[in-house]
Amino acid sequence: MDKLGKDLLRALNTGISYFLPVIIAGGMLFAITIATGEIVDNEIVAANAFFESVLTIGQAGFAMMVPVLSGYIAYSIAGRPGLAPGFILGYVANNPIGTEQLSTGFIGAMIIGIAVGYFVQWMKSWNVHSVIKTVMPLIIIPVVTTFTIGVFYVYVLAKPLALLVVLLTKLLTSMNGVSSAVLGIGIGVMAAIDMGGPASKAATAFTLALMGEGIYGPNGAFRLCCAVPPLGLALSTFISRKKYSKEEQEFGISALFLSLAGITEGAIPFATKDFKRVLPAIVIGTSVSGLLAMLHSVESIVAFGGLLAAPAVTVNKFWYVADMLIGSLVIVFIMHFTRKDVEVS
Amino acid sequence: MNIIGITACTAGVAHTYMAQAAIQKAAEAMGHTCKIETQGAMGIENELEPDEIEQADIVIISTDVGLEGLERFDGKFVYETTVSECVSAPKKVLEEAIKLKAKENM
Repeated sequence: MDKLGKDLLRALNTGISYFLPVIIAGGMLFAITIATGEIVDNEIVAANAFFESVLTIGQAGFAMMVPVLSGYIAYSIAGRPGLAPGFILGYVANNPIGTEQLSTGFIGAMIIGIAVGYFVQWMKSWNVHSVIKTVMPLIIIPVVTTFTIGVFYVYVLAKPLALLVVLLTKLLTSMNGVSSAVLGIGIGVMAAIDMGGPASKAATAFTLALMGEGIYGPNGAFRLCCAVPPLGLALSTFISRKKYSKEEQEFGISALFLSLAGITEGAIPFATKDFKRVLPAIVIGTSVSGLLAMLHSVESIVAFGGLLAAPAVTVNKFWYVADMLIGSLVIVFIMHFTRKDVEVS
Repeated sequence: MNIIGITACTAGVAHTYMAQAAIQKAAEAMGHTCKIETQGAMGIENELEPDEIEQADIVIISTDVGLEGLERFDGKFVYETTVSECVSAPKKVLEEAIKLKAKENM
């Protein structure tokens, strides 16, 4: 059981690891189109024909992201033969299918990726004649898996999964002040607690799944939160200069640049040196940012954070930047009062 | 001892290389030779050569994601761990691996 959980976690991480560049490339092209054009009734209107094409390229990236996710989830479990059926069926999950035209997006694709992975792994264990063995990975595995899991998805999985997706969407769109505040704090804690590790990536997966359903608030909050730990610590090294060694002041400069792109990992050098002060500070500061961002309903449409992604913030750009700074200043404040001056040797 | 290994984290930009550096440093401090391949966002870097794999005593696999080319280590002593383990306690990881390896040889 333990091994199964570990394999599944590894599979999801592999999927996310391969699809991040896809969604970042697509999302940034979206952001460029928005920055130059405008948004009318939640629709992006490009400035001219050139940006219209840029938008189309960006949309292609978004269309690819779900198949890449399910393909590489299957790949992690079953190796290369999992890729082809994973790609194809991920596309299926993301588009309306069957008599009821159901589509299950991100969540469906994750389930399909796992199903394909284990099905292919099982097929690989078949004891077949050596003549057939050579055509197994090229013909038999992709055809049989794609057909079997595909049909199983359309007739068995699609309906309950679609219901689940609708339920989740309803729950999150009808959220009131208190529950969105709690969600905001949760997002902040997950973004900061392991500085870009598995908890952050779990939050990434969650917010992306919601984006697939047209809910952009949690993504907005999470994306600004990602930048808070490195930004807060960088500002702290500039403001409370006496409390940091020369080496740490240099970390501060690189952390500042990493925060611009929302790369939380910039906080790690500080945490490795002074874990018991840095971690509480960044967790508290970032959850403040998360809380404010949810309350201000900041929305972002790209899976990419920091100040550089501000053009992609579709709702409440001002608060995106302001909430990021407020959380960072909380970190500066806590660090200032918990750290001692560095002794001059 | 000759220690080799692979590190790979989810985003493949920071932890992968931190784990690599941590093991490298710890192994050298303990007097072992060490080469760690990274499978980050740039793909395979510092790739392990066949003769290095041939001569290796211990293979440390530190990953949060699925890896490429694991069949290269068929028949070798492989110790699997996570990236965060290697970053925070590389020495413990190496000691544990060496202990298990010694047990296997008995």
